[in-house]
Parts: sequence; C-alpha cells; structure tokens
Amino acid sequence: MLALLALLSGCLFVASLFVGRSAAPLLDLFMGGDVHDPHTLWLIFNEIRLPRALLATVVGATLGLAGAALQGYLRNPLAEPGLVGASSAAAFGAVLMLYTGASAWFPMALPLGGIAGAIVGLALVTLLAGGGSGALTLILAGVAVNTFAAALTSLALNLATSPYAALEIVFWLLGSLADRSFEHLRVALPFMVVGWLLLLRLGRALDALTIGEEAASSLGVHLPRLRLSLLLGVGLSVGAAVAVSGAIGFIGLVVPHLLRPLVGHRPGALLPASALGGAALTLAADIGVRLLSPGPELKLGVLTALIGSPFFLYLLVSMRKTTQ
Amino acid sequence: MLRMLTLAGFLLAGLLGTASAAPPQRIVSINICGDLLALSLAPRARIASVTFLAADALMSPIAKAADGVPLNYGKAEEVLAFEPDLVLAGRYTTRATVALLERLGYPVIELDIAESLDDVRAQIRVAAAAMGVVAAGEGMIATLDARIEAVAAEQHESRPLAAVYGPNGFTPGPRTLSGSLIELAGFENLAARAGIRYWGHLPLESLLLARPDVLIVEAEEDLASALASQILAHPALLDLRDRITVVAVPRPLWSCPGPWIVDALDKLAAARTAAHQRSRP
Amino acid sequence: MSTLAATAIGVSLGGRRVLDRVDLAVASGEVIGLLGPNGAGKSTLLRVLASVLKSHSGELRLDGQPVHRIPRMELAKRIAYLPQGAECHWPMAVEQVVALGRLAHRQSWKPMSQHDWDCVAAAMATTDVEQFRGRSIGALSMGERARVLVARAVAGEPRILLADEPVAGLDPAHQLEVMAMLERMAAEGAAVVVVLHDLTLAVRHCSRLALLGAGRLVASGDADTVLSTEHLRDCFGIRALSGESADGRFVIPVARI
Repeated sequence: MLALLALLSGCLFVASLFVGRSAAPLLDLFMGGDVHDPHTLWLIFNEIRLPRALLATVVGATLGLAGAALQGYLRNPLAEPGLVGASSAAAFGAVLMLYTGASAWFPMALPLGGIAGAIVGLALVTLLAGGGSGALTLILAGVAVNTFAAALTSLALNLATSPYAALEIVFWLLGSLADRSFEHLRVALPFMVVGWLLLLRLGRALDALTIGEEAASSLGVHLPRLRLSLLLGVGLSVGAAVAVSGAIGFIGLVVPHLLRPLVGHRPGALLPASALGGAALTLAADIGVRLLSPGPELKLGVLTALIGSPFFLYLLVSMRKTTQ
Repeated sequence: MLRMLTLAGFLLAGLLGTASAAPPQRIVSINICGDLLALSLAPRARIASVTFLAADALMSPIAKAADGVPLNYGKAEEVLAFEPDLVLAGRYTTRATVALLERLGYPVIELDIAESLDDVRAQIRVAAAAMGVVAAGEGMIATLDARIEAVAAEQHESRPLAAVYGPNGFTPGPRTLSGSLIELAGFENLAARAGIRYWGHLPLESLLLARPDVLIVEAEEDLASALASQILAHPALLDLRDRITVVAVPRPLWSCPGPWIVDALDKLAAARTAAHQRSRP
Repeated sequence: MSTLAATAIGVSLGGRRVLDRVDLAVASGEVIGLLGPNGAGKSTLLRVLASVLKSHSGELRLDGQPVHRIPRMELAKRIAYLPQGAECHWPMAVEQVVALGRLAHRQSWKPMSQHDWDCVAAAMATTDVEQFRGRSIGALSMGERARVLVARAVAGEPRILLADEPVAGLDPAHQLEVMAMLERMAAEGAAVVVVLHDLTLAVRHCSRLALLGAGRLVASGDADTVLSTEHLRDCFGIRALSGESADGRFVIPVARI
C-alpha cells in the first residue's frame, strides 16, 4: 500500500516538473534535442519547477499527516489540520507582513511572519487548553484561537489602505504554490520535519486510543504527552505549510478519509499513508491548476476546495445508502 | 516611505541606464501601470510582453495599443521565457514572483501606487529612465503639466462638494490619485471631510448630511447613470436625486500614471462647471 | 508471584467523595469479585488499581513497589485493564484489535513478531473469537465485540487482570466461558479482579469477594461473610435466595426491600 502511494507520488512529482504555462520545451531539453535557450530552460527547471514540485510534496505530506493524526486522536473523521489554530494564526502572521509592507522590503518576511504567527497561535492554544489530556478542551482552545486569528485577518483586510492592498491579502489567502523558490523551502522545511517526526511517532498511541482513553492509558500511553506531541507536531508543520502556501484546505480532511479503509482502519498505519497520499493529491491539484486555467492561473486553495465540496456530497450520499 | 522608494527607483534606473550601454531591448511588464507606461513611452519593438490586463478595455485606457503584443499572466516562468532585460513590476505584484525574479538576477523595477500628481511625475520619470526613453518621459510630463495648469487656472469662487461612492461605499481620500484629481478640478472631496486619508468607507449618512453637489461614479458612461440611480435609490436620498450632478469617470482613467489622467481631469472639470451652473438659479 | 495492594485509597471527583479509605489486595492465583450497587465506586476503584486514575490519598503497590516508581511501560506489561462498555472506535479487523494488547510488549518501530501473533491466536481461542478472524469488529454483535475485547486484555499475558463487567451483554454460555477463563488464568499464576453484577457468577468463580457501598469497603472475604442477608439488605436493598446445587452455589435476587 505504502509502496503504491510512494510510486504515485513519485510519478506525479515528475509530471509536475514538466507542466507549466510557458510551454517550455523541457522534454526536448532532457531528451537531448535541440533547444533555443538551454540556460533559461535550466533556470526554469531548477529554480521554478523543482522548488514548486518539492513544496507541493512536503506541504501535501504535512497536510495529510496532520489530518490523519488529528482524526486518529479525536476519533472523528471530520477533524482537519486547521483545528488546533495553527493555520489561521500562520495566515494572520503572513497577512500582517503584507499589511505592514514588510514583505515588500524583505521577501522572506512573508513566510517567516507566518511561522511566527503559527508559534504564537500554538503557545496560545497550549495555554488555553491547559495541561491534562482532554480532547474537548483542545478543540475549544483551537476554536478560540481560530476565531481570534480570523477576526484579526478580517481586520487587516478592513483597514487596508487601498483596494490593491486588500486584493493582495485576499489572493494570498486563497492559497498557491506559484513562483515559490528554494528560499521558501529552506524556511519552512525544518519546521515541517520537526512536526513530522513528532507526529509519526504517535502511531502506537493512536492505535491504542481506538479502544478508549482509559484502555490506552493502561497500555502505556501517556495521554498528556500524546496531546502535547500532537499539538506541537500539527502546529509546527501545518503552520510552516500555511506560511509558504496560504490556506489550502480539504487535503487534510479528504486524504485520511479515502485511505482509511485501505489500511484496515488502523490509525497508526494511516499516518505514513496519509502523508504520501497528501503529497500525491497536492501534486495532482497543483498540476491541475496549471493545466486547467487558460487565463490567470487558478489558485491551488480554490481548486482543492472545489474538489473537496463534491467529496462531502459523495460522503453524504454513501452514508445515506448504508443507513437505508 | 514613498519618497524613499522613488529615490531607490531612480537610483536603480540610473544605474541600469549607466551600466548598460544600450537601453533595455526586451521589456517585460507584469503590472498594469507598467504595461501602460511601456506601451506609451517605449518603442514597440523593445516591448517583449505586457500583462493581459493591458489589452482589456475594462482595465486599460489604451487597450488597442496592446494589440499584437505578447500577453503574460504574471508568472515567473512566462517572464523567463521572454528573456527580459528589464521587468516592470508593481508594489502589489505577487511577492513570491518578484522575489524569484530578483533572486534569479533579472533587473526589476517596482512602481508604487501613485498617490498624488508629484507621484505621477516621479513614476513616469522612473519608468522612462529604466526603459531608456527619458526624453519621451519628459515629453509626457510636459503635456500633462500643460493641461493640469490650464485646469488649475480656471478659478472659481466656490469649491463644490464632490463624492465618489463605490460598491460598499468605497471612496478615495486625498492621499490617492483620484482624490488629488478631484481637488485639482476644483472640488472639495467629501472623503477628506469625513477624515478618510487613503481609501475608506463613506457611510450613506455622510452622503445624506453633506448633500454633495456632484456624485462621481467609477464606470463607463452608459453604466454610470444606472449605477447612480441605484445609489440614489435609497429613500433618504430622494431629494438629492434631482439636484445632484452625476459624472462618470471610468476606473482605468485615474488608476495609473499617464496622459489619460487628463481625460479624467477633463470630465471632472466639466462636471464642476455643470454643478456651478446648476447652483446658480 | 504477583501482588497488587491498594491501601487507604481515597478519591474525590467533582467535589464528591467517591472512594473513602478503601483497602484491597490481590495476589497470584486469586480471582477477586468486586461487588456493590451502582455508584458504589467499583469502576473508580478498578481505575485506581489500573493506574488510569490517580487517587488523592492512599498507596498502591505492585509487587511491593510503589506504583509511581515503576515505569509506565513496565506497568502496562504487567497489568491489563479492561474497561466497561466494549468500546472500539474504528472498524478494524478483529485480530488487529486483539493485537493491541501486545502494544506494551513491542518496541516502537518493530512490527508484530511471531510470538506476538501466537499470543493473539491463543487469546482469541480462549474467548472463542477465532472464527471472526479477518472480519471487521464493526460487523460483530455487542456480545461478540465484548469477547474480542476480553481477548485483547488477555493477549498481553498480564500478571494482573482488572476487568470491569467483562460478561455484561454476553449470552449465558459465553458468560460461563469467560468466567472459567478467568479462573484458569488465576490458576496459571495471574491475579484477577473482576467487577460483577451477577451474584451467582461471583460466588461460583471468585476465590474472594469484596463489597463496596457508597465508597467504602463494607465487607471482604468468602461468600457467606460478604453476601450475608444483612449486607444484601443494607448494601443492595434486596432479598436473595441462596443455596447449593449440584453445579455449585447460587444467589438469586428475589425481592426489593
């Protein structure tokens, strides 16, 4: 199963490298054919296509993994990575950079602001949720931070000094991986990797949670530590992902859901599978935005939302069928 | 802040001008204002690409001028494919794209939003210097200044009250190009009275209490009267409908620096004359 | 030889005193039946014994050592806790659910060893769920599910088994089978504490009984001491018919007092 997903991701990664609006004859370049300006083509390949494909992979993997971890912990298939407040806090951090104009002076201010926002948001959630191990308090704290961060983001939009400034914020929020560079990858990857390491270790604990918190505790799961690891893992990795790409929804919700039956409904096995599945789906969506829009490029977040909504419809229909 | 940016722009443009013996031969613009300046100032042969907005009559005052010019959608890959030696971008062009182009070593000039007529002149100079068409730039400014002087010379005793009322009550204040042109045409801008500096929201109440003489609608002529009726349809504004002068100023005319702002100015001046005559019994 | 000893356990939950100076000890070879009316604190006591809930006063020792000195995983290996309710959230395959019982014995990244799977198979055999291998637990009836979860508790080869109403919802045949299994485990060296409502099962299969009432240990010892008429009246509020049959003792509640 994992091998299959890895293969799929690999193929999509390669495909992503060759899809683009400039119709650059990259294939010719690789096949050793005659090309007009190899230098520019290599530039496009190395500095535009490659970082974009890599970012799609790691952002997708993060979203899939975080979604699976949250769904496993909360034992709820509707949980998604934004629940713990890190993504809206990251979004606000980035928007703040746009609003104050810091991003005009220093390009990496945008993702760095996002990561700072995510960390602040995380700290707030940890403070609000308190110690202990309750899932409910965690969700409530996440909702509180989400609402607050969203309100601040709306405030920034409201107070924007010109329609162009407002539009800039809106477009960033829609989510995109276009024209990202290796700088973005360098800024975000360390946080994502830390998050992944924290989350991938939770497999056993999540499996144990299947039979209840108390039984899990008796099997050796330290519930407060589990919650903290989850919070930090999701917060850091998803925060970093949002910081570079804006808000990309539905990947973290849809991927674990689709793959769960394929791993025998085991939450632990779902973690690596969702990471790979998330990477694959995001790569596919990112290829889609480049192929689908003849005019200005479709935003990635918009496409994933467009895919995600019918998915819910399908869920509803299939649930009705099973209950009838 | 703006001054610093324009100064930096000047320096960069100057450097570019001195560093390369020949002016840029493959200019790519990824910003509408850059598009318009390139199409108006630089020789056609030296323009490699402008954005699709330049060819859109709804967004561009000189849409026909973009006929035949390769269009881009603002993505770095497209820009690279044109092999530019100058990229014109805007203050609000996607940060990632601009950062990437700079990182890859392409000369990028960022044009800020013009907030006043001084800014307009400065932007034209920066763009002209970067594109190596300083003379054409000065010529454009001279034409502009002449017309502006003519309008400013028409002094009237009173300054009628004008208001721009857009969707959601959006209105430009004094620190915008629109606001500057409104004041230059001899109006008092209601937004200024309401304390709005850049862009802001004008409550309907303010419109009602202030009873402006002129309502400025940012749309094409034929659409303007329909929009004006919608705005003035509010029961509270009933009596305003008969005595107010409505003038249409399409948004493209006063969004970017260039000779077209004179057309906007003309419309505003005509509206001032009309409002003046109306107020005289 | 394993012993789990709770001394003077006190627990307050939500401002209410749920357990008050309760002593309970179990050793290898014993099956202790924990009895009492609803709300007496039986489940709470079991949780404390399982180290799932911390008591506010009193001491818990495993094999003589205070429990808080023993590493978590070590505790998990030696003590198995089977909560009420047969909860299983995801519709996993039956043998995967039973395999969860081996978690404490496995290291982080290692997959299940042959020995692990052997224990799983043995556990499934003892609760008669081997026939469900490969099926999703979501497709089973409540009683069948309960048996799978008992197998999970047993799969870890615990030295101490704490079971909260393990036979609730099982049909009579399987009730007897599970109780017999508990006796066998005790005979093989385990120490078992089981919360029961069925008094007959309690007297037949437990070596010792403990009666809780309103958070206090009311009585402890053999059936005659614990299930005397007075205790049945004062603690349970019932009158019961006790007697001996060819197969063993019975205690059947007949009337409320």
